[in-house]
Amino acid sequence: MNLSSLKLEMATAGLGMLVLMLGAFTRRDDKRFLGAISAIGLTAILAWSVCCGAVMGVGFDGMWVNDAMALFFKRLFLIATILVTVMSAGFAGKIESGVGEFFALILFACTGMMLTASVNDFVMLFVSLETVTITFYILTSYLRRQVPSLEAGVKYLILGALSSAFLVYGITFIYGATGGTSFSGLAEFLKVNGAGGLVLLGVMLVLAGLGFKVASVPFHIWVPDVYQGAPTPVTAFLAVGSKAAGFALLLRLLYGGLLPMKATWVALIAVLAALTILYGNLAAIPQKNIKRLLGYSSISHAGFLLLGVAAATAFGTGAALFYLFAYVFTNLGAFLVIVCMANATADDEIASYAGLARRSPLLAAAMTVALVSLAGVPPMAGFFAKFLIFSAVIGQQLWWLAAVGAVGVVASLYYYLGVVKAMYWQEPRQEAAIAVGLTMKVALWFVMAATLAIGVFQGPVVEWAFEAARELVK
Amino acid sequence: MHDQLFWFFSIAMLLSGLLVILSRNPVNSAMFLVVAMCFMAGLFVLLEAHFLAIIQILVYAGAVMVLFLFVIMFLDLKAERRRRFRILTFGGGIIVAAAFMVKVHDVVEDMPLVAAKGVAGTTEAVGRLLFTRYLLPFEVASLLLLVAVVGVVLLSKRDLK
Amino acid sequence: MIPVVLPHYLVVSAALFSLGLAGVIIRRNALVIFMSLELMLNAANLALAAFSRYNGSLHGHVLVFFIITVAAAEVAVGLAIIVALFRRRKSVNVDELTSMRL
Repeated sequence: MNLSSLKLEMATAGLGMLVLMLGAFTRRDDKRFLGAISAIGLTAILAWSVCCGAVMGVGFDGMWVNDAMALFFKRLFLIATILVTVMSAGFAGKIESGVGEFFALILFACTGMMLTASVNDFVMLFVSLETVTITFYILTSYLRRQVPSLEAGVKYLILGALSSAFLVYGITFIYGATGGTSFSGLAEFLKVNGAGGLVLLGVMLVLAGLGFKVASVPFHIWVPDVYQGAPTPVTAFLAVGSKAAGFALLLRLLYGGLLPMKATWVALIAVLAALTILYGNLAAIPQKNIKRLLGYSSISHAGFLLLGVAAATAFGTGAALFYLFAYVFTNLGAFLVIVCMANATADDEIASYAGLARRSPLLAAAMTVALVSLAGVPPMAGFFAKFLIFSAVIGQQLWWLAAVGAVGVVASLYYYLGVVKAMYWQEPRQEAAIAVGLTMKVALWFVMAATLAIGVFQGPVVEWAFEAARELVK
Repeated sequence: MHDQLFWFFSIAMLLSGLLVILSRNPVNSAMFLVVAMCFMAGLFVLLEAHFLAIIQILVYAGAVMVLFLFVIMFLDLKAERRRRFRILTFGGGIIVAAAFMVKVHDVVEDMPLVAAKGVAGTTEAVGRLLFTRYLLPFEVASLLLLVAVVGVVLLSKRDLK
Repeated sequence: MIPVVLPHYLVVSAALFSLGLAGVIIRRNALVIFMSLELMLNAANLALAAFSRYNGSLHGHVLVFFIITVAAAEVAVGLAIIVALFRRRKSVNVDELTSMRL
């Protein structure tokens, strides 16, 4: 049972090592072939997880849990990584050295994320979270001859290490109070002794550390610069993968270890969600760089996800899971367009998107679908996700939170539609058509179709997300 | 004896820690950090954490800090210019740190003053736990180290194919 | 004199953590900031060892082992990034990281 429940992670890590090895024997011009191997391998692992690769249960003295929610997140990470790999293949021309290692590191980051989905112990939480974070330090500074990438790397490094220090200190206090490191031990301790003193301080520090990962206010200050400076596929991966990993850990902790102090964390998360939505959406309005804009937008989406968590019901959690799923396709769609555009125009200014509809109708359409879905306009996936989140919040009578969310949605319409307006109703700077490679074309069509399909035929995904949530929130 | 050594080690460690953040020259900071880590190892011995005391010296003071010193020498950093301390940053730093310490101190006041008998942290005892209950994180840490090795080579090699 | 007990160790650990935190906020040199972060991790290590002793279990020691491992990896990667930045900018001052603005 123990090892077999790790099959998916071992396969992903093994694939990463294979790509690393093959990279050493591949000529520089053939390195994209490694991207194809990663993408195909990941698809195979995803298929395997659906048919027979998933072994459910608890292992390693209870520090490892494979349940419906873990599996939901693992598949989510696999899908996100496949799309990021395809995106990286389109971006590979900009990476001067180590293209093969770039794909390998993405696979290792994916392994780390898959590990976080099953965590049920603080030691495991720390080690798997650091695996993801340290891989992202490297990936963020990957364009090592470009100052913005390195600056982003240093900023992420310092603030990330600071948040790890808080996380570690929090775990220390929890260990000191409970005498163990497991989530269930913490839950039992809280049931008997209540939350106070040492253990409360520890829990707050751990939540601060996780707040950094999901980019919630007030732990968001790293986001704009890191999103802008990092290589675009890495920014995309940070926005969907790293954030989802943070949420997987947050949900595990809240419903595993902190269930006895639910009243406290519901209030805390509700306040954080409100601040995050307001800050993310208002700060996004004056942005001129598209990656920075999506950085602020990713803060606001963390806020909407926290709304679902704050509802603290199976329905709210299911809504948050559905939101994450929709967000993966929607957001990666936007980043695919940014990669294509950066190849053609060499910058990420929103001004360069003026008149895009005339230069490349496909890119303009894909960007519009993504942005409209991010804004939550029907019939896109993003609309139904927001609809579920708001129903969950209103179902819990949290009217003020719903009102804050509504303000956020209105503000977000302004800046998302600003980009759409520029693409369709402004004069282009240049008239030259933008060429898009075949792989990228396929990926763009796929993501557009998925965004629409999830919005229109929500049934299966909703059922799947809610099943995962029900098992977590018994 | 335990008590006197505790006071000696902790006061010396905190003083070196203070000098780490106050020295203007990064080389001095690094050297004081090495000193602080050695005193920390002394505290580990007092706590009967023998294995930790050894790896504190070997890994932290030995490997990690040597890496720091290498980088400082390699970059040939000059001592920071004497500059006007920005009162806001400085005061902010002190206030945040002090507030945190007061908070911890308040919490710790409620702790029962027991001096229970602990188990000695010998290499054998820690190793046994590491390879049984904590086997999974141990294996994950190996992946982490692989990632770090690949990353460091990529980021610092001058020319890479 | 009062005998030394668990809270003594914890207060020393909190003082060290606060020193590290103050260093991160006050200093501008990326390398010294990184050293201050090491101080913070060390403070956690000290508290863990003390808790282990008084809880009568070795789980804290195992966590310290993992923290040292992760810190070593983090330092290696972090210093590589800082060196790469220095090669481009000839400075490791975090006040000068301003190539990205609104």
